[in-house]
Amino acid sequence: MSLSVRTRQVGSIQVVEPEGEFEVYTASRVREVLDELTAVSECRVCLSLQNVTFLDSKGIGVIVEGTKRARRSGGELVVLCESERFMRHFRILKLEEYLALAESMQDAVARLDKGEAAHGNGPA
Amino acid sequence: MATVRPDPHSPGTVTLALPADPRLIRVVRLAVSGLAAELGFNLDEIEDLKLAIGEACTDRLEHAPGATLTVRLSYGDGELTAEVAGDGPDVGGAGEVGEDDPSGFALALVEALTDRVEREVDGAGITVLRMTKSAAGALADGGPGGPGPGME
Repeated sequence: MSLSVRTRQVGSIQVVEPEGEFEVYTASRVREVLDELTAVSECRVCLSLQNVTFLDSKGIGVIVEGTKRARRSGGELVVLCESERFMRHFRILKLEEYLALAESMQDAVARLDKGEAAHGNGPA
Repeated sequence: MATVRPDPHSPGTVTLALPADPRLIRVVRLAVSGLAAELGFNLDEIEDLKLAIGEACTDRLEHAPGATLTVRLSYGDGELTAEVAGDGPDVGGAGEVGEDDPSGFALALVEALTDRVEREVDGAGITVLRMTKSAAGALADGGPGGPGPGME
């Protein structure tokens, strides 16, 4: 296996952590997990690329699709990415505005909390 | 310990012929990274080549689903050229590069990460994707590791 996908919950945030090569053959594994999580109304999902060693256009397609689905569900998907290489690829594809990119887990949580506030569904 | 390395200044070719299976694109990437490292490409360039050539393989598997994928890597003059082809004509006819890449991601990455990209359809109707990248520094400076010992 060149990719494994772990999911864990941090507060009300679902954190998805693929580890390995996120590419043409393995991308469907991440898609399956994201499909499930982003179908939930007002979902708050963090996709961490911290342990991804290789990302191709198919992997990027899954990230974009997951983002679309999360927003359609009234939620948000934040992409945690510290890799300058992946950021460069997102810039080449002009996705740096479209994707909700965070450089740290703290930043990701902050963006998802803000998203929740924007949806008028802040913590009681 | 002597290591036999390809001379980056004299041309050579490494050809991979593999079953048309997306799982094996990873093997192409490993071979590309090994060869590019031997040729003195730097780490960033190696990653660019792995991604670009991998994308070409994905394109060919999707549009010319045959039995075999061929990747011909030729080098010389500080450049690495990859020619990627399936073993049959494109399903639905030959189109432009990226025609069936609705997001355009694959092609945009290949174009940004290599110096030249061409698409050619040969006499048998087989599409060949050709891409070339030159090494920024190492090749021009005399190849892997620069002038080796015993060059006096």
